[in-house]
Amino acid sequence: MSDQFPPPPLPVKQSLRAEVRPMVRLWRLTRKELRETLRDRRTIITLVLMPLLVYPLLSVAFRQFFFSSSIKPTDLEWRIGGDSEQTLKEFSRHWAIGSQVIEGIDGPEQDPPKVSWDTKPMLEEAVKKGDIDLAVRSKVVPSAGMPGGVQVQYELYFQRDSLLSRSVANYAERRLWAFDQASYYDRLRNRSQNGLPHAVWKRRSLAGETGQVVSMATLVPLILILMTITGAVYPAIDLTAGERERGTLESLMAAPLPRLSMLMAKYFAVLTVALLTAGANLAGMSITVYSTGLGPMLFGDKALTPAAIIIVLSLLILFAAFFSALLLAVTSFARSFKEAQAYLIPFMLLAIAPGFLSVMPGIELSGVLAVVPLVNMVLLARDVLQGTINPLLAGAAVVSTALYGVAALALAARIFGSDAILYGSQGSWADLIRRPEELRDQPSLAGAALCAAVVFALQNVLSGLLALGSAAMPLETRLLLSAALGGILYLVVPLAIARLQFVSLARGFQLTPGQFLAYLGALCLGLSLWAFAHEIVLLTQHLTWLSVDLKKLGTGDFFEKIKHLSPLLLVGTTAIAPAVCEEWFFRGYLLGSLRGRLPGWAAIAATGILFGLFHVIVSGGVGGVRLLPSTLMGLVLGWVCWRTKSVFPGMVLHATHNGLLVLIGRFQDDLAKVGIGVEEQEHLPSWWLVAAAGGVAIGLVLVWLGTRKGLNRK
Amino acid sequence: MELTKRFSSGGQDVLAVDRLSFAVVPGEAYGLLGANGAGKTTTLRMILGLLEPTSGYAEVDGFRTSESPDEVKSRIGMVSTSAGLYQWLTPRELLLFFADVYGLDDDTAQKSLDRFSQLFDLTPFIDRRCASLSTGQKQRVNLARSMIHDPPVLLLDEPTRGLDVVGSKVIFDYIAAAKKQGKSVIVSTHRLDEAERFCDRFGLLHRGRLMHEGTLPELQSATGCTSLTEMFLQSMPLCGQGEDAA
Repeated sequence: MSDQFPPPPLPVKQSLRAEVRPMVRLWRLTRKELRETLRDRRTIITLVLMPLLVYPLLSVAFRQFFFSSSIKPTDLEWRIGGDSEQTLKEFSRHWAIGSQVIEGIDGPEQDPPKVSWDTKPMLEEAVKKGDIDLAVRSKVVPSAGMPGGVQVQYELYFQRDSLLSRSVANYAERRLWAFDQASYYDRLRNRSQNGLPHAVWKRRSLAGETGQVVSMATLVPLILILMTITGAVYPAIDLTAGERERGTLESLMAAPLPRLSMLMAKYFAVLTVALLTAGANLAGMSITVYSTGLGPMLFGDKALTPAAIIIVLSLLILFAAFFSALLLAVTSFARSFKEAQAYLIPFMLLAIAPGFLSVMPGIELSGVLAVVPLVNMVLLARDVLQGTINPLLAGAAVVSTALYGVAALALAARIFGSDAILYGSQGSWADLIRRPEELRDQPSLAGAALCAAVVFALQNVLSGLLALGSAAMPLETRLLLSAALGGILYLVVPLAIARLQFVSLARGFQLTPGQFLAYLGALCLGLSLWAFAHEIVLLTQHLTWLSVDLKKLGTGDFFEKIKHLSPLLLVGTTAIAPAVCEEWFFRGYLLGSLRGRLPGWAAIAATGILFGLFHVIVSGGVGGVRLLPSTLMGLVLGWVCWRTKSVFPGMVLHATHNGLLVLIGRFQDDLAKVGIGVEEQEHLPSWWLVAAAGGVAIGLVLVWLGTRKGLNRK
Repeated sequence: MELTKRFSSGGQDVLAVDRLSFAVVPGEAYGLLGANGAGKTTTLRMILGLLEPTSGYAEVDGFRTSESPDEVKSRIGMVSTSAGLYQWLTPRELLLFFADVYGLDDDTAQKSLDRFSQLFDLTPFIDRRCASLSTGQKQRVNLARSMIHDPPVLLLDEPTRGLDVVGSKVIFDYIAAAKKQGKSVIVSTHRLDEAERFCDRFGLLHRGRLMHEGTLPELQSATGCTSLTEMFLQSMPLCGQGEDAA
């Protein structure tokens, strides 16, 4: 021990709380967390060793699977269907000639397949259902210079998910190629002037409906995602429950640091490890796939391109961001490493189970599945690898995952470092849901994110249930139920969460009266904007990624059915109820939570885009055409609310807009009789658009005039 | 002042600290004494802002914990028996990290590190991973960690637990030196004999309540006992029945 005692004191005040920029502080905290985590050998094992071992082992398993599969086909009887006896007769003749040519080159075939030939009325359906392995259609086209003066054109249908079906198609294709070669040389020998092949063919792959084959292209992203999760689990436990158990969390909490900074540093550390794991896994998988030649077998015609790898990596980053937040939320609950593990095991099973469901054939990235966590990322990654991505659904999957991530982080922030967790014996779980003591003027960002995620998830579950049960219901009941559902989602849920957070009803939901001129402006906008919404729908139909058959939306049927309904019921359920409820949530609650925290344009854009996406999801993904008009409406409604600081003018605008549209549909025939009317898929007359533009301009000016600063001061 | 902490345990409402009030002036060492479960650690945690009081408040250097938690935390150095070290960091990395967290600039942090390395004899193991240190070495690093920002207030919760005689002497010497420098020291300990040596005043806690408070002569006069141990046994007949809440 030192004898130099006591040491000279440091100037106390000088060393207290030097100002540190939040980002610098966050970086320093994250660096410490990473240093601590990455030095831990257990992390390194998960990070490096697992990918090094797993993918080569999996490749061996895959190759074994494909090898054993490729041996089997010739043991089975090959079922080939044709559209006519004549087709089968001609096709089998070409097949036989082709086989002879190949035998002439390769020698006698060791294990020739047993083939059964049959005609089928519904060839494609038979292939899809697995009744036959290959379907053949033929067409005879006159062609001068050919033997017999005709060319035979075949179409070969096979099931791309079925190894057997693919094998039969490949086998047949090779025989036809050999037959063409033989025929070509024959004609050359006969000095034919026409060098065209005698028979040509096209391969047509069909998605199977048999449910017998697990899609390998889905298995790969699932494995990647599971490995990413594996990488994040250990640091998430160690940096929360582990630190609490070792007593290091208390030292950190005793320091003058914002609790959120500590959590974010831990979050970034967990995320970094998860991303390193994801990167290592993706690299390991790519190298294995390339080096073993498994690519075409796993992903079919679409090989694993660099672009696909980059997109999948981006999806993994997004998923890791979401899951890291979720893991931190769960592990922050735990008071010890053991307790965290106990929480995580059922949680992981719960989280992973839907992921395995997504591997099943026939599961597509649809409206509801696009917002189911993990499933949406697995299916989206599969679509990327197969090159069949739908940007709209991809957007829904990405936005929903990001939203869930923010909500999980908000939850973690509430739990992390609380009395109940830090000192288990001195706090209760009830502390976590205890209401703040002071009334808040606006919802917290965390509360808003949590509310949006809850509404987003409930929206899908409840609207799915409504769709299932409503098929046999009268339209009136469906409309009432739909309005009630909207009330629960957009009115009751935010209200409950706001009450829990002790948010002032009047200020938190912007329930101020608003200005008279603003109401007038909102009315003008509501009467005029529909024309542009209609035009945007028509224009966006030509965009491939938004295109949808309007019949799928059922708008035509809907307008036909409502002709017999009470206008009051219609306006109440499709205009007033949605206007009140949606404005309450999107503008009142969400936009209100962003006021003062984001610039106006950013807050309006964020809620507007969310509003548009919600409307797409509501329609089960087929309503892609609704994205742009709904987003546009969301932006206008957001601007009106931002200017007026009131939710009511927006409700007037929204109700007018919806009411006008539904009443035009309701009285379509009557309007047509007096010469007013337009077909659903036709552009509006120019003068209508000019009038509507005038209405929009007047509306905007009135809102602006009504909300001028000088006027507000008065 | 009037610090109170209630919490639920097994469905029961437990009063861990009951309207506790005391003040410590600069240059004074205050001994917070009591049996397990008396509420010593809970009190220290409330002063630091790690636990929210059910009612009442703590004030450090004019700052209330509930209103300016960061100002309070930056003025306190807490040594706790339950505090651990980052296993994969070296003492040097750990101390510089906490110096940074407390807002010390690089130069001051390095000087402070050198000073405490010398003071607590950390130099022989300052670049070894904390996981490989002995209990005594860890405790010394822990002490240095809590004092690296040279705070005007020290909260010491059982500071000598796990230390040998030599290690304990370092703590006592440091407390004496801290007092001379005008620091306020609050020590929670079981070791009454040691407390007698370096504390100026004492607060005897029992089941969250302050039973007696004062200097040793004041307490002797009030209780008629000569030593703290006697006073302790006399004023806390139910000692052992109230299990640790802290």
